[in-house]
Amino acid sequence: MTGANKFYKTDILIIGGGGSAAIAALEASQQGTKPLLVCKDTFLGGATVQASGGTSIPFLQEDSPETFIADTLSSGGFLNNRSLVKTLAEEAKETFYELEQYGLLLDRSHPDQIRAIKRSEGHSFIRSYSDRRQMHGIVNFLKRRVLEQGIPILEDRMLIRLFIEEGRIRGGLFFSLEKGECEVISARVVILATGGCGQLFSLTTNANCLTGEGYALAFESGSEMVDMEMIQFLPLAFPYPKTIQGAIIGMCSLFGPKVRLYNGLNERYMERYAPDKLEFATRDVVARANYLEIQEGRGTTRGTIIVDPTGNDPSLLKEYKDSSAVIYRMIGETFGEKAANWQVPFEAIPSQHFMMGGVKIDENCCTSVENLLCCGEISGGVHGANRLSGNALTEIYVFGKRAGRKAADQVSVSPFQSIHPEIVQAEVDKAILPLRNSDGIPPSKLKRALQKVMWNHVGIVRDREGLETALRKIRNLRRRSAHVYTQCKENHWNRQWLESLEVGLMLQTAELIAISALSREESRGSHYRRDFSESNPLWLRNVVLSKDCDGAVKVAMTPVSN
Amino acid sequence: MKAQMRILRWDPKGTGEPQYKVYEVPYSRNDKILGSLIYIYNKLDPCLSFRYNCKGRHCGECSITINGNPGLSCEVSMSRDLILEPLKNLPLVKDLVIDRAKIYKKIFSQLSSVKPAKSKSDSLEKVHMEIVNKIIQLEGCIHCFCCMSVCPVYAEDRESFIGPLGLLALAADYERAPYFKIHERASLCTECGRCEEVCPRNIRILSEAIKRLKNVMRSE
Repeated sequence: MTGANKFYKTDILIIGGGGSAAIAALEASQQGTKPLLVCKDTFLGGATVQASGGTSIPFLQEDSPETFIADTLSSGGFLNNRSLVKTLAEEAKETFYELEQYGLLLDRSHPDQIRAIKRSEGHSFIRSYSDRRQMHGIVNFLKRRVLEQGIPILEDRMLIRLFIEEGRIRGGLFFSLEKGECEVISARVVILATGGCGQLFSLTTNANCLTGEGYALAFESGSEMVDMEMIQFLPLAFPYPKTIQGAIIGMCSLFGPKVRLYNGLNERYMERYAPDKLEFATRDVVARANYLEIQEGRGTTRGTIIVDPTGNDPSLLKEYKDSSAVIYRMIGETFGEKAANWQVPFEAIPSQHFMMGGVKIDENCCTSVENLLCCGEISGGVHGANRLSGNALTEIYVFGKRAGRKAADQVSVSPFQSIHPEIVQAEVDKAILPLRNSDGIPPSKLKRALQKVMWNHVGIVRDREGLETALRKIRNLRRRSAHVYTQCKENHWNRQWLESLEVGLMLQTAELIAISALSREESRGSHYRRDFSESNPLWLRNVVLSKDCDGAVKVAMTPVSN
Repeated sequence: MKAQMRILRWDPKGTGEPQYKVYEVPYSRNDKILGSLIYIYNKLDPCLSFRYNCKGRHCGECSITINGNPGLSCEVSMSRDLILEPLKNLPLVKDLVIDRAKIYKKIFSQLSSVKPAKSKSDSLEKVHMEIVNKIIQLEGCIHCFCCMSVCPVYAEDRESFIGPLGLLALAADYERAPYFKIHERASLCTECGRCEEVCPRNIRILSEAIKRLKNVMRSE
């Protein structure tokens, strides 16, 4: 590889392989434009396929967008961007039902009502659409529609650089795993929909491809980042076997109204953390309780907590089996059939789950860089300090569509602008270094070191000392990442090469998260500081990071966006 | 305790021939095969190519042939002696990686487009629960291609036969809007039932989808 080997040109470049990218592409195409989809892994994948299908829709007569807004703000510790929340709540039902107009059948509990049975934590009404196909019915439908619309898809291509000049996007540079070479794609408008960053942590429910490079690249391009410290952890994940450690089990409400959590001393510890709501407190509270019980030595001998669903009416089990067939089976295989059938308790640990913070957007998904739009998990602001269950999927329908529409609007007023070959060449030269280096550090070693630092110091419980240690270690790893190298020297499908390019950007994203977490000297939602354990009204502010003119990270505390 | 894994290695774009490489990995009875593949990649052979992503049986990416049978490597537990090969009947990229995109593009391009319903945006169209339940049952496919890799008809005719995966999608389409032309697509199936046996989602591909299509054809 001596230079970029391929050049593509497209009106709208959509980067990402999950639900929000797909919906943006369909909407852009619906508006008569021609988007190109590029994703790091396979289409359609990402976190969307992993979801249990829970989508928040205020569909009941007695429910309203106003109540949905109030619940979302309250769960988000009032850090949410108000206009994003308003848009989410007002457009949720319409955009979701619209899927049926394109031929999808939504799951139903009655002939004309979506299948929503239980009220989830933090919601005032039953809003959680639960699909017996999990996400596969919707995902396969979106995938088929994208193909039907003739939208071209390039898979196994990782974004390694966004090209910006004069504050405006010009395109991106991609590394192709299949070809072992770099490709330039120039575009009038770019939609960044690369998803979350769970792989920054040792324990995560997120798929392997969710390494969070989009955050680093958006920041480098000049985008403002909002509340990067706000990371959600899920209360219940598999503690073993090793391969699936951290994989999703879920939240307490899945296991019936009589579910109980116990520690190794047989104490119902939620009485201490949330005396009123107990096991049904929001995710942030329960995840933190689970973490602290284990961390402070009150877990089981295996370092887990106990989930006890045995007190429930057995007739409730059927609904669980229908809605969560795969996890039901996984619980059976891991802890025994009796545990799967709620006859004996089973073990769990908390695990990283979702990124609330991210690229700052407005209600049209515009960022601070002209013609760079953002949607899905990588965008920040709608969830505030803690995401309500189900709101991530609602977000992809509402903002995926808005991004697609805005991009289409921008095409006619946005001429192509050239990308300077010398800038491309410099990036390509950098990308090939790991393959050329004959020794150094393999990428997986750096990745594991980073994941440990993030889990231990930038995880569920934080404090100044830990965060400063984390920053020091991350910066040290960043210096070492200059010597990352691949032991495998093949060009074709060299996963180590891809990982080498990933890890440098992962470190950069991690640094942004640690800086943000250090800046917020209070506890709110998912961000818990041991040294500032209360919420402070003076901190009803967003932490906004941007790049200084000399490349340093500038931190600003701004009033919460309306 | 150790386990032995024999993995079929080949890069069709390279100069070498297909060959089985033997790896010794730590053995843990309850762990999954995928964990050992990641171990090999990290410790023994960084050039080994395989796909995985979600580790939770949803992405369908980690399917391979395990001792002759297709399965998800994040689901199938370890054993002491294993032969791992890429899925059969499908285009090989390298080692255990197959070209998934190529196949589903080909299949979907042969199906007619999904017919829009006439629902309004503020309410849902009334659909009989019987139909809802039938469609839901047919639409949990994760596109892992396990069924395609064991289908004897698809092995013989990869150009015009859309295989169990395509027929499954067609059956769901038919339930939704019965005017879809079924053609002779289902008639080639010999009803051996292998597709249904190997489906990690336990979808009744033969008994509920393909046989239903065949019945429709007979009555047409």
